[in-house]
Amino acid sequence: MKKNPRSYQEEKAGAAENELIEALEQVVREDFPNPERQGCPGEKALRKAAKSAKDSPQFILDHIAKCAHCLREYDRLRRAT
Amino acid sequence: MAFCSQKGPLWWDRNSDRMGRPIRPDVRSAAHEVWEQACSRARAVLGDDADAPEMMEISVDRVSHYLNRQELPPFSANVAGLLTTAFRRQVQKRWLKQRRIELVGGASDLEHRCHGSDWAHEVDRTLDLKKIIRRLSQRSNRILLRRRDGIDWKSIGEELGISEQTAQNSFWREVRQAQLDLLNTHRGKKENQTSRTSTGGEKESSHEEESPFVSRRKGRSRRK
Repeated sequence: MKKNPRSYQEEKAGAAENELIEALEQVVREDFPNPERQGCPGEKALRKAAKSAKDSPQFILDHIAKCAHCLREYDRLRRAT
Repeated sequence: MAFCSQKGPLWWDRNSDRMGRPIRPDVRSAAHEVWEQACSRARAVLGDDADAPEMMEISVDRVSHYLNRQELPPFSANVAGLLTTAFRRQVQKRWLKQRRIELVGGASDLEHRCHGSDWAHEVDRTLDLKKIIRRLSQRSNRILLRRRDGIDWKSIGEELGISEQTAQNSFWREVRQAQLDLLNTHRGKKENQTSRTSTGGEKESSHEEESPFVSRRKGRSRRK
C-alpha cells in the first residue's frame, strides 16, 4: 500500500502538493530575503493572521510570499498559537 | 476478511476498505459475478490479468463508497454494471500508464542507469519545482500558502468565489502550464545547442538543461 497516495491532479501534473509547498518556501527564502523589511505588515498583523489562518487577509499572504522574514515570523507565530 | 478462492488470480474480498469503511455486500457479490469478464477485459487490453485483482479491489472500494454516498439500499441498483464500468476505467488508466512508461532494458541496465544519479535527479527536480513556483501567479502562490496552512479546497474556493473543484482545477492547470513552458524553454535550449554542435560549435552540458520532467512527461507534452 502506498504511504501517501497522490491525488489525480498531482499525478497529472507530475508534482506533489507538498513538493510545491517546499519549493515555495525555498523560493521565498532565496529570492526575497528582504533585509530592509520593506512593506512588512508588522508583528501584530502577522499574529492576527497566524491566529486564524483561514481568515488571514490576502495582502498578508501576498507579502508573506515575497518576504522571507515574515514567512519565518508567520511560521513561528503559527506554531506558538 | 477473506480471500476469494477461485481459479485464476485472486482479489482480496474483504469486509472493509483500507480506510476502515465497510464494503457493501451487494458490491462484493457483484464482484464475483463480473470477475471472469473483468479478467478477460484486463487480458485483452493489458496483455495479462496480473493487475486485475488490484484493479478489482479499487473498483469495489469506489463503487461501494459511491453507493453509500448516494444512500442507496443494498441490492437496489445495477451494481454489476457499475462495477464493470469502474473496472473498465481502471483498465483504461493502467493502459495509459503502461504507454507512458519508457522501458530502459533489463535489471542490469537499470542498475547502471540509476547508480549514483539519484542525487542529481533530486537536485534537478528541486530546481524545476522552483522554476515552476516562480512562474505561478500571485493568486496561485496565495492558494499554495493557504494549503500550507492546512486550509481545505472548499474554503479556498469560497474565498475566491468559485467552487472547490474550479479552485483546484485552475491551480493545477497553472502548474501544468508552467511545467509546459519550462519544457518548451528546455527544448528550445537543446535545439539551439544541437544546431551549434552541428555547425562545429563546442557542446556544453549542465544539469539545468535536462529537466527530470522531460522523460516523465514525454508522452503528454507531445499532445500539446
